[in-house]
Amino acid sequence: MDYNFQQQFHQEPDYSQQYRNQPPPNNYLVWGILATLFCCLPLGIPSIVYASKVDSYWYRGFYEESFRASANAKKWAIISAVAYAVIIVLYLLLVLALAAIG
Amino acid sequence: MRLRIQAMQRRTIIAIVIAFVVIAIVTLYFIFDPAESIHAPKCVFKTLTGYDCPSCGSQRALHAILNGQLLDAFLLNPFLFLATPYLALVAFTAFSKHKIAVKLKPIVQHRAVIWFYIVLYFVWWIIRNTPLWSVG
Repeated sequence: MDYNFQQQFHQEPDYSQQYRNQPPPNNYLVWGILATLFCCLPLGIPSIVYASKVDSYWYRGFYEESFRASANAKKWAIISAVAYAVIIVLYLLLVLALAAIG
Repeated sequence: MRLRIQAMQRRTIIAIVIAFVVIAIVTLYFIFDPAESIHAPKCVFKTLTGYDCPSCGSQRALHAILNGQLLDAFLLNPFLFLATPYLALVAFTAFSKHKIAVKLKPIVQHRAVIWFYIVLYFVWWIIRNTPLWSVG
């Protein structure tokens, strides 16, 4: 597992003491799950997948990757929220248009 | 000091707004049956494809729960009966600094648990649209 893990990234864990005993970055898991429950669109899934990586990278010493996973989890949570807002607006427009016609 | 008061006021305002929205939603779904009302928002996925999305049935389930029909609610969408408590646990371990939250976080937000949620989400999505799932 660890062997494959390291091969995949061709990188050693960061052994510097900079982030030792620091809490891992935010994984935005709440927002990813909310997106999968409210959106009907599985756009929250990438966010959740990245969220699942944040802590495991962090406690293995892959701090860079952990920060990147955190940023990606945030990005996909925002994408789902925006997509949700767009869908709601389109839906309301459709309802209004139908009401205007009918 | 002033900053702390401002932060507290902001939190209080947010809490009041959330409480107001929750009370409004609970009242609406207690009184109105979303299956009967044309004003209840329709699932976009279901409207477009005719298939249920993983959350389909949540409005009807909420109406059923508020009217004491727990079994009906469960059968409408059993996935939500796992997903909602899980969401609550994730929110608790993400936002609370209580020592129980700190202890629970590595378990609740463990990679394996998160992946279990993802797999369950898709398995439920598929199964509920097959003849295997004929309730609800």
